[in-house]
Amino acid sequence: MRYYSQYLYDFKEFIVLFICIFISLILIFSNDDTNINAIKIAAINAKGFLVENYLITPEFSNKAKMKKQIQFLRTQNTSLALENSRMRNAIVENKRLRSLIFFIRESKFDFKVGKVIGIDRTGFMNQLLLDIGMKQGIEREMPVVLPEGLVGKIYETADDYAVCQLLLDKNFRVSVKVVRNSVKGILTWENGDTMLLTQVPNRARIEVGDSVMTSGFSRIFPEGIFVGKVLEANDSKRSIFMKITVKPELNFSRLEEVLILTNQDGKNQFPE
Amino acid sequence: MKYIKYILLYLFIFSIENSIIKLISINGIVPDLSLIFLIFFGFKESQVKSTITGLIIGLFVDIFNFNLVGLTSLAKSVTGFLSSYFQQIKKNVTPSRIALSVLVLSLIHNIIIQIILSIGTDTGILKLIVYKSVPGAVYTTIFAVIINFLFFRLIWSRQK
Repeated sequence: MRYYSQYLYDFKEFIVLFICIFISLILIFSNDDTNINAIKIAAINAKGFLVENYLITPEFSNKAKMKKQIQFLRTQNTSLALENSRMRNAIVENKRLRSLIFFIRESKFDFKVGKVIGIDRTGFMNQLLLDIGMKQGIEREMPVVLPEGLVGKIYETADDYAVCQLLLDKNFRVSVKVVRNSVKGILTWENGDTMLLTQVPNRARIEVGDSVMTSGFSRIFPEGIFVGKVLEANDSKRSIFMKITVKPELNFSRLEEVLILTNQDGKNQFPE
Repeated sequence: MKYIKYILLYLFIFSIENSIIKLISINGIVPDLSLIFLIFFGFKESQVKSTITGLIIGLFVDIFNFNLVGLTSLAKSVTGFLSSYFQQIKKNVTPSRIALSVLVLSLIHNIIIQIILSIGTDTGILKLIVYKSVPGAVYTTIFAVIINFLFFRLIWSRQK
């Protein structure tokens, strides 16, 4: 017994390290646990409160007078932009199907406006802190958009605050299609302000300037949200997939308000 | 009393890390002040203390930065553990020794994080090291050398 206790004492540093690694791994694998989520929510509330009340940066302050008007205009603008992009999509689809069926999809998207109170593009997750949360009907995985295109999705919510995971985040994936020919792929972010369109076979005809929008093959993002334009498209001889770079038209460093898509009802409905 | 000072100092560092430090970010890369604190802590304190401190700091960072909880605590526990192997440094503190130690430790720290984050993605390990781990480690090292220069007496006074 004494031998064992001496042995443990001699290797206490390694035992402590092992315990710390073990605790960390347990935490990594239990990130969706209710208790961990409760801690995260408390942290979001605390950070939101601190950022809003004590750490407000100049670009987010002193716009109270214009705020409501801007929010209203942005909501309308986004609705129209989404409607417009859906219409463009419908036209291309109709040409491809030789106009056998003409259908119009009614846009019944509902939005909530969230003010950006913090932008963090320096950590492991590129994110926005929003001043809107569960009390206002915001839930996890709701799409976040602007007239210029897709911004990201809600990653975590607290009572009055929410964290939005940006499109330009390493762990963000979205199923998209090229509008001109409906070629589908998965959009991911690697570095900077550009994205990579993956899983597109070499035989696909992708051209620079092609518009890319969400494909609808997702339980999170509805079809027809504009994402960006093809910046570069190269056939790869060493791979069966093309290397396609997509540039979002959104300036992610100047986000002030975003729109959270809270209701996707009414999509994909044919007129009677 | 010593530990209360450490806690207060860390809270101060954490608040700076979450506010004004982002003003000096280069292409989204900022110096990791929490890591610098942990490494200097490891230079001065025992291996057990620095490992546990790494875990606590990591948890704090994960929770308040909305990261994957457990990720930074894993990397920082290992870094805290390893930083104690560099305690020889306090016998003769020179900028080059500080730079080399911090560079090695922050590289290990960043590589652990990037490897875990890359699980399930098709990004190559070499690419992760070159583009993700090295720039952050270099920036953190430069900052650590500056902090060591500015607060030399404060950091090392008890060891002299």
